[in-house]
Amino acid sequence: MKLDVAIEPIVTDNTAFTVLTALRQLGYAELERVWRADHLLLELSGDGSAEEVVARLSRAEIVFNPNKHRLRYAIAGVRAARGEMFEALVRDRDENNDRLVATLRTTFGIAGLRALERSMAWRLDDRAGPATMKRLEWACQALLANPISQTYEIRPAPEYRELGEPASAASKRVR
Amino acid sequence: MARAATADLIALSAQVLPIEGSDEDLKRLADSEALALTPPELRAIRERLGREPTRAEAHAFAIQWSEHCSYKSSRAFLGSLPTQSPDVLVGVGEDAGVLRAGEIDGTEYGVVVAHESHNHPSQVVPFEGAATGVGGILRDVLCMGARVVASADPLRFGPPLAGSHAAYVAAGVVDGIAAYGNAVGVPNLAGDLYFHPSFRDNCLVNVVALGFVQRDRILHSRVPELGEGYDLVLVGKATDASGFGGAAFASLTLDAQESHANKSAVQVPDPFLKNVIMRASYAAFDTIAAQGIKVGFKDLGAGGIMGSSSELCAAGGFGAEIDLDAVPVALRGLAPFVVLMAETQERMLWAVPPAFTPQLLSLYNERFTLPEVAANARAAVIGKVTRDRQYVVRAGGMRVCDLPIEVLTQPVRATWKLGPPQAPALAVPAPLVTDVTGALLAVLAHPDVCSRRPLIERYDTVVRGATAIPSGYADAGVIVIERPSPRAVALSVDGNARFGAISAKLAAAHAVVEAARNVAAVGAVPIGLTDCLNYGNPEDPVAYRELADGIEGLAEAARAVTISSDAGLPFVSGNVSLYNHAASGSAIVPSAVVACIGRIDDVRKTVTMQFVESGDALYVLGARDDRLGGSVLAGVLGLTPSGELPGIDYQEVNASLRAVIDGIGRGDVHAAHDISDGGLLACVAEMCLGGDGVGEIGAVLASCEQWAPGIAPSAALFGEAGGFVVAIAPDSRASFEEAARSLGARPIRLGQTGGSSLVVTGVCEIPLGTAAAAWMRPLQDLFA
Repeated sequence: MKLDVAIEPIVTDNTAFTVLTALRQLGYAELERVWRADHLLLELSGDGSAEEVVARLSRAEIVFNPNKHRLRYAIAGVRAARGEMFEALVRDRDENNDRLVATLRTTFGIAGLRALERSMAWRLDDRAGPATMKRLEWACQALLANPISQTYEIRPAPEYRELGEPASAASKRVR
Repeated sequence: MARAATADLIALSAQVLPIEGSDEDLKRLADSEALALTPPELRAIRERLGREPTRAEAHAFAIQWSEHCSYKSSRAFLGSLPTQSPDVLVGVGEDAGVLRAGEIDGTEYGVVVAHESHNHPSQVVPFEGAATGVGGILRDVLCMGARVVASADPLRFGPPLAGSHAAYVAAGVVDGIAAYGNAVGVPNLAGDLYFHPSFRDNCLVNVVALGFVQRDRILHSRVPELGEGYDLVLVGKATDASGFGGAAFASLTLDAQESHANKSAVQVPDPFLKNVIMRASYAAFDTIAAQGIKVGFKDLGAGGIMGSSSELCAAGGFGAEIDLDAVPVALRGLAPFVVLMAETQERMLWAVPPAFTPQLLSLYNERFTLPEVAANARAAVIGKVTRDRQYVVRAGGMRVCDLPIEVLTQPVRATWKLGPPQAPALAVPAPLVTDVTGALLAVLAHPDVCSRRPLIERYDTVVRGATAIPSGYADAGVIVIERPSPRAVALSVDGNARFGAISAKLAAAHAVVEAARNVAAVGAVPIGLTDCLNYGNPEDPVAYRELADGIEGLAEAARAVTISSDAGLPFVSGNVSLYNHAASGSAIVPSAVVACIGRIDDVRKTVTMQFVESGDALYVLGARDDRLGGSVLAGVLGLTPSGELPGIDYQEVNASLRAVIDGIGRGDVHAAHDISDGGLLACVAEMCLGGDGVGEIGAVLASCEQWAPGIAPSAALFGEAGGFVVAIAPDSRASFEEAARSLGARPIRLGQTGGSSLVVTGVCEIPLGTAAAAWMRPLQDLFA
């Protein structure tokens, strides 16, 4: 099983504002909103449910602090993604998460964790609605990803939900 | 721009709260309104006002009467601290103190220093808590009209076991300090770090900042004379709800179960905006000086707009009228009382003559384009200074506050039951240590002794290009005032947590003396102090006694260290952080943290702790002592943790300070290091290794009997009685000894530098590589 996890700031996101301003100055004048989250892609083995893993992850203060974050998740590849909304994942080329995986396994009890990829997730909204894939591609090339040290991937945005929230509620909620 | 609150929210702010009924009724009222006020305090508000308060007024009192703002539990003791000397240009009572730093080309410069804590926020949200702690202290210095030049961070955490909550807090705090300080462009000049189980639930994040200002350009935290009709200009980030109740939160007992609910009390840092605001403010300072305008300037800290505007105006003998509709806000739907008291970061308040206002607004909003740096950030006129000494706040045309300004700002006091004196520490015989090599390696690897390099490397220590001795290379950091002048200032922070666990009073006294020794060890003359008094719940008689004893210890030592003035070393700024006490009942060990400022006439003569020449003579100043209480060795060997602390001979302290400072000034001293954590042998090991741990000059010490006769070898080598080890050029030995003795100091020959090992004759020989491996490694995983 693979889990997409988004850890979003719930306090003022200065970085998102800076990106908003910078992208406007770079020519994306109709941009209205920038959303950003730490993204984890967890590769899991064993019989544990997604909810159990997310519950354990929500106690792992090395990645999540309830005083400043909201944690949402989606089961990768299970649900059909909403085609009209895209998300850019920007990842460091030299990323090494071995220590984080070991800590999550041993200290925080996510025993079935086999691997983890960490990236920054970005979504953009403009006056017409969610930004197109082409726009996100441009934003990654112009600002969001440093080609020397980072890679990026643009994909249909998953429908994240909070722990205990039914999938149907997540699909109805306006993000 | 500003957005008016809805009528409902305005009415909510102006609603009168009924202060009536029993204590239980009033407790329920306080709980339901999230007011950190006791029933007697609620009744006192009604008595002082002669009526019941509005909701906005009640929250204003809750903040102004919080421990953080009012010093209500400590005020009775703080009066014993010395605060005056010829070097004091601005003493306690303003945003920061100012000490005489020296004259350059006929212009007198002051060094501005402020000291605060951000303990509770850092425990709940380590990164943001620590980052906003740095941000806040920089504003305190900036508001004196100074260029902000350096920061320092005394830190206390629980034992840093891998995967522990304490390790998470420690790593987050250091990340926060680095992220803010590095981005804002202020070098980290000094710091200290202790680990103790009592800090597991209450970390300590103290922050110190320095600035330089020409004496005739010092600004004050008060509306100047003839300030009636001045505009109140709010500058900075758009106000949001972040930090609402922060001051009251800082004065509450921390409870892990409650931490989630404290979310709104967490402030959000923005160092990039702060960087721009600082530069814009520097430009404003230049304009104000050029035009000879009288202004008041104050940062927004505790209580936000309310705290800053009421104190700024009351200090000048004025009142204020605030229009909350004019406050730039970040989001709709904020109640006026939240806008009034939210502790949104990166904001400051000017009181300026109306004729100057357009120039000031243009400077921030157009020349430095604040609105383009952060959402709705700007300078805006939010009120007027009034003659009638009323504090009036309006929103949507309705008065939500209208009360005499003194009622809001005058001090309150709280007196608690004082516990019995601390039990005297036990006299514990010094142990026999047969494996000195093993003991030294264990001491060097102890978290309180090991190299701070992994932490320091996270910080930018040299940005601005004025750092002469960066953090970690000497007992104090050194920064020059204005190149090419050689005048400089040294900064050290100290406060031994292990000592605090044994004697609040003696630990505080040791903190003063060690801080003075540390600046002297680079060649600086100690000229002033700041303090942060970190203690437990004052309502607990034991903790209240510890607070009283700690302040007594500070006062005794500061008056006794007369190196720069017969009045002793003055405290020019400080902070009290109480309620460092978890609901589980665990309080921190008494922690008086002291910063010392030293003045340097010629930075070219300063020295570090690292040996620079083989063949230098080594001396120890400061008598060795058999008492091993609170020592690292006692911890390593598992001895009783409550053994007697070493004492302090102030006459000897003054003589040694002068001998070392003069010796460095004459060029006799090649390296100097104070004896503290780990004792004399760890001190010499650190002098061999240097700040980077790569030193190649060893040392050969004579047998202990020769330099510490009558003292047990374990106490001679590892005892933490204060003092200095100095390396003296061979041809300066006679002059150093003679000069030191003439001052009343007793330099004792210890050995000499040389070789590639640390040798104690007849006792041990430790290759420097072995010592370095033990010393450098322990904190790498925690802060890497």
